[in-house]
Amino acid sequence: MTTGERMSRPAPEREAPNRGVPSDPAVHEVVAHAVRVGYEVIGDNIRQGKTAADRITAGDYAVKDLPDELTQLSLRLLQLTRDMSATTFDLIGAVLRDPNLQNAIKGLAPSLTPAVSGKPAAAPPAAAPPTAAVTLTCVVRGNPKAFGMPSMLQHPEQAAALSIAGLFSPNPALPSLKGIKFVPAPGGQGIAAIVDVPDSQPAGNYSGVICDSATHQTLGTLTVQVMP
Amino acid sequence: MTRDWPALATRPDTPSIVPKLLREYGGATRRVVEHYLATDRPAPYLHDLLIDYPRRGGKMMRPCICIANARAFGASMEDALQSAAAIEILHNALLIHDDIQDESEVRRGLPTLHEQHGVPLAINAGDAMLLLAMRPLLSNIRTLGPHVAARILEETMAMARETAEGQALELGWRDTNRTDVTEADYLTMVLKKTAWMATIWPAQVGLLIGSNGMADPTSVVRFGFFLGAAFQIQDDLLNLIADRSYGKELNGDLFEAKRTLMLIHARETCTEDERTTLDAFLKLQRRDRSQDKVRWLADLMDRQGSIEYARTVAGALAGAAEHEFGRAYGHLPPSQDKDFIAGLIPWVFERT
Amino acid sequence: MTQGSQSVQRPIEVAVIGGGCAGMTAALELSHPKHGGRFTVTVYQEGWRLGGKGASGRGPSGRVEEHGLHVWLGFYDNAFRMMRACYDELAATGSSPYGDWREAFVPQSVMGLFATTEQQGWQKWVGHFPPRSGLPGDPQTPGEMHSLPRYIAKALRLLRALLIETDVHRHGGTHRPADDLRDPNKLLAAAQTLLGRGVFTTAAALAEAIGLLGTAIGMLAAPFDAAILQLAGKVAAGLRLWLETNVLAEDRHRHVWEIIDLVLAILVGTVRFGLLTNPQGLDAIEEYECRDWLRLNGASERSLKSPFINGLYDLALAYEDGDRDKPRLAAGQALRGALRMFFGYRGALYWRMRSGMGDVVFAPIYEVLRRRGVRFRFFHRLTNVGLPGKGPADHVASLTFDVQAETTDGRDYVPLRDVQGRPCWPSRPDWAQLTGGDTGHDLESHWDRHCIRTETLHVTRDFDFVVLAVSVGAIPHVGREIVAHDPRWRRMTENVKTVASQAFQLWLTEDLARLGWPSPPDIVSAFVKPFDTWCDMAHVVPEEEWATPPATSVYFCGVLPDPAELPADSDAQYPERRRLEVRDRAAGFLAETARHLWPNAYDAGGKFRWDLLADATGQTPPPSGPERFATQYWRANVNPSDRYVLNVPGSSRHRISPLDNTYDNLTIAGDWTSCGFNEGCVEAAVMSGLLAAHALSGLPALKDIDGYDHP
Repeated sequence: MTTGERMSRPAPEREAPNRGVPSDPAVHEVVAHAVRVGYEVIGDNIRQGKTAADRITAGDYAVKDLPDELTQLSLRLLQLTRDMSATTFDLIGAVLRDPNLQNAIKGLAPSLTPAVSGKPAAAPPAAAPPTAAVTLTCVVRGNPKAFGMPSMLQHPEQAAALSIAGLFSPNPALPSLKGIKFVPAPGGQGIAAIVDVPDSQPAGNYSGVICDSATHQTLGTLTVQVMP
Repeated sequence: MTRDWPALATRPDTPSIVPKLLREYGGATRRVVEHYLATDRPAPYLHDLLIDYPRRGGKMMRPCICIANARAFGASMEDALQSAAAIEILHNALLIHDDIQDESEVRRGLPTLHEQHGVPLAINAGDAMLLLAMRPLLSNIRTLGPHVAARILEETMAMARETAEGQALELGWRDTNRTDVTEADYLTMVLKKTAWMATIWPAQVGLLIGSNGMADPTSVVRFGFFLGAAFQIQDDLLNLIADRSYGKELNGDLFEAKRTLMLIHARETCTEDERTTLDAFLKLQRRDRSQDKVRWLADLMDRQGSIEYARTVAGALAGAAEHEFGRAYGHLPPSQDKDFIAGLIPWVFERT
Repeated sequence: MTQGSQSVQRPIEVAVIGGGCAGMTAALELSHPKHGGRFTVTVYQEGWRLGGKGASGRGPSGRVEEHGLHVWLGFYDNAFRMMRACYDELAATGSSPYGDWREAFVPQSVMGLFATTEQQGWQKWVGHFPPRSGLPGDPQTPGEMHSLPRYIAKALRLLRALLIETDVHRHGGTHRPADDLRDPNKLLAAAQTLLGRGVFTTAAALAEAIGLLGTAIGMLAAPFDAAILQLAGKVAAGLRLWLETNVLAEDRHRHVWEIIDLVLAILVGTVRFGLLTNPQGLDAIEEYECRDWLRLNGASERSLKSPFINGLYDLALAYEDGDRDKPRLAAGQALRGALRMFFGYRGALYWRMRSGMGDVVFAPIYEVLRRRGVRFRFFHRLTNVGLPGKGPADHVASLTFDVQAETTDGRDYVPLRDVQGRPCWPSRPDWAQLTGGDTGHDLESHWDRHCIRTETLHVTRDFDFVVLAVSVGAIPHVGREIVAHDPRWRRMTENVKTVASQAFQLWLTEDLARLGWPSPPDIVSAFVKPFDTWCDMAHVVPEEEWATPPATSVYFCGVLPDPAELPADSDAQYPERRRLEVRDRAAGFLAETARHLWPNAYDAGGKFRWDLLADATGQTPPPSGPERFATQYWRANVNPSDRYVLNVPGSSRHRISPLDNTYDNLTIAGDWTSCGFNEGCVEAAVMSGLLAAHALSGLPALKDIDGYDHP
């Protein structure tokens, strides 16, 4: 037996189970969007890849039919390497062919012939015919009386490392200029030759041939004039 | 309106297996890289340049992805070392070219190769490395058999195509001053320019080695893509944020108007007037982009919450990567290599 | 006014009415030392024993006599946790006759199902469910919470595994013994043969597609829904085509394909109904009949008639009015139950009790409660829950009981007696303790209203809180005032259906192997109606007290159809009539149907060997021929409170939660309440008891009731 006031239950915090899943919060739109775009991009790419693969295996590029053919492999490997190398150079070329850059260079050197505008760089690299010429600026350091002469540089047929033995005077008695470096031109685009000219360098014209170091293909010339 | 995306959830820490294997596999790879880059008689102007970047260290993520995949799929580290070396050499070759292209001055704490030796020698070294990278892949014919070697070369060629397209794409945007680059465009570029070579291809090569050419290399493409994309966005974020400690106006990516996710987001969410200003900025030559204008762009990104946005996206893609990890690797027996591969996802966000 | 006010110093008096699983859970919670004696609990129980639908008794030769057939599924975490705590508490006394809980519950991993085939009659399917880590009732692993995506991921893994394994076995195993394939060369050859047929490729492609589906479902984002649905549909169509073209109707793997078909339907439905993100969880499809919902999502008719679906209904006795032509099961809870059963078990898929459920479950609970000072009032049959005569009808004012018997000395009735050294519940009251001795009354019969006096308890004087833990079948009889006053209660009693059941037990002098039944499985369902489910209980025989122990015992159960017109309360002979019906049907089952199970139980002339039945009564000579069946045990569970609780489509929303606070000193408990797992079973009853305890005391916290917050 008990006596006392009537008691009542505590108020319930809730009366039903929580069927929603707290561990799996709704995906935020930003996340969903990013992932969706990601999947679209990769999906597109894979689809294109499959189409390409279908075409290739249907044609004489039937890789899987000749997996063991070493000669074939080696040839294609070389092609690949060339492609990659050419690609890299193509892209640099594309940068150099930027019309704005060329205009800027033209402003510096009005005497130059206008550059041939390159084709859009987004084209498949293997198909880009490297025919255009690019401008070469010359930066002279050291001797304040020395000036570089801008010129045109041929685009190489394939990947190339520029090389130049040195700048030489027609007078073999005068010392040549060595240690010439090629860098992309200031402003992000273009190629510049950097020539260190000592103060003691005798007056005169110094020039040299720029070659593709691999093929010895001549790509252009570089000239520096030292004023008396 | 733009700040209501979810804050980054606390990420799981990178498992210790990640740094451990990066050291272990990375060290083994370096030795093989040295071997392949050591010419029979040290060539003047070449050998030192070839071995320069590899000797500067680096995270060795790419070769380690390859080895871990090979092991997870059942091969030994030795089976994968040649290919891992090829991957690392190729990566360094492209670094040389990238540095020239981007006029970078510093790489891994030292002057870039072209800064030191000039562009011609640097280009020359890069090209040589490209070719040298093919040597270990050809050696695979002898060590792994022609079938596996051929499958690896197939994927390598596919990678080369994708990478070239990606580079072309990005330069094309710069060339034509495209201002209306979308997020999808950006991810496409990342897929081709970064992810294919950095994550997808190394994983594919490892998978082919481990499975003796039997597994389908497309099965890791999605994982590689999401991992690589998270990696790239994080990279862009780090560049943006790291440079801020020196002042917003000094930011290289901003000066170059590099089409990052932050830039794309800021442009897509700002007002019409701001967009006009921004597009004008993008059309300028680099040298015409004044510090004031760069500061304006940095402020715009701040206003639009673009950095937080990119963080969220990076996290989302990392989540997708985790998901794809399950699909690509879920069927494999547990192994430290499998843990390593999964652990790369948090690792992407921890590197500095 | 509230229990928390400063003026209240005395303990709170709680009347728990009904000693089944739900009431006992509430009593255990409220009497727990964690409350520091805040509650004083009194249990009111009709008749002489606890247990409700889980009660059992010891008959002649100490044999176990059950209400039916009980197994504990491996996901009954709340129920196992409670029992483990009881066994531990008793073991701590140092002299527990009950032993360790692991001796009381025996893990089982094999389950048999029957399917009819046109050519071969009954065909047996045996499912092996591998043991899983952990034990039921272990603390939940953090992060291992109940989530639909997790289940779906598990289901997809299962699908892929089934697809791949079956395919390999099907084609590799038909021509040569499986162990041949241990030779790598032969395995390789078999694999090449498969490739040559182009079959493996298709299966692999399907496996890949399933993987993709998993990805898609993992995405969860709304924009993907249409695509996922399309993908799920395509995978389903592909698999079904595969099934039709590659698996003959009589293929021994057809059941695997039926599972695949069903899982696919569930996947499609999950996406189509947005279940992954629906805040209602699976309740969103609670209005659908389970088969209808599966059909709606593309399940084939063959799968819907498969033993799995039949077994799902049989194990849940899900036949409205006991009519085998009215299978009715709410889709949401059916899915929840199936997901938890197959993907949520720990240790083993299901567990059998070593002895009678009364002895394994309710005897130790009784001992624990007694030790904690809980009082038991047996022979108290509730007749009315009284609301206040005036003022708002917001609480229970009185409880009225028929007192059925009293002890001769006025002391508490002692309900247990020892069998084989363990305290057990007898099948009949111990009349010797009771005034007047054996009156011949059935104190558990609804139709036997014997009572020696009535007793009325009043609020504040005799009780403060009430836990109404009788079954829903009894509510219209004991809760007339509330039902009349409260339309929600009326709707609940109208919509929450129950079904009568029938059961019989055999004790056999030869074990089932000798009778021609290769075991495992020991438990089989989806067999011919009405005794569609049965279980070999050989392990219980040693607990009994036989002069000559039989080789085994076997329990059968099934639904029992109701008569067209329900009997009047005055129809005292009704239970006996139904019992006779069950006896005849069970004897008929032995005479004919059991032939499919135990061919050797029939003599050369095709007659059942009645002398296989062990006579517990020790008559000399024992009856022979079909009369011998009279020595076995059978029952008809027709009492309102014995009726099994169904979850027919659309009924869940009429259930009332123990948390409902309409009557501020009353809570309800039982597997008929809205307890989060609305299915007739021990786990649901225990969950409801925990909820009832929470309603009165705030403990346990809702998050600690495992599976309450489940999609």
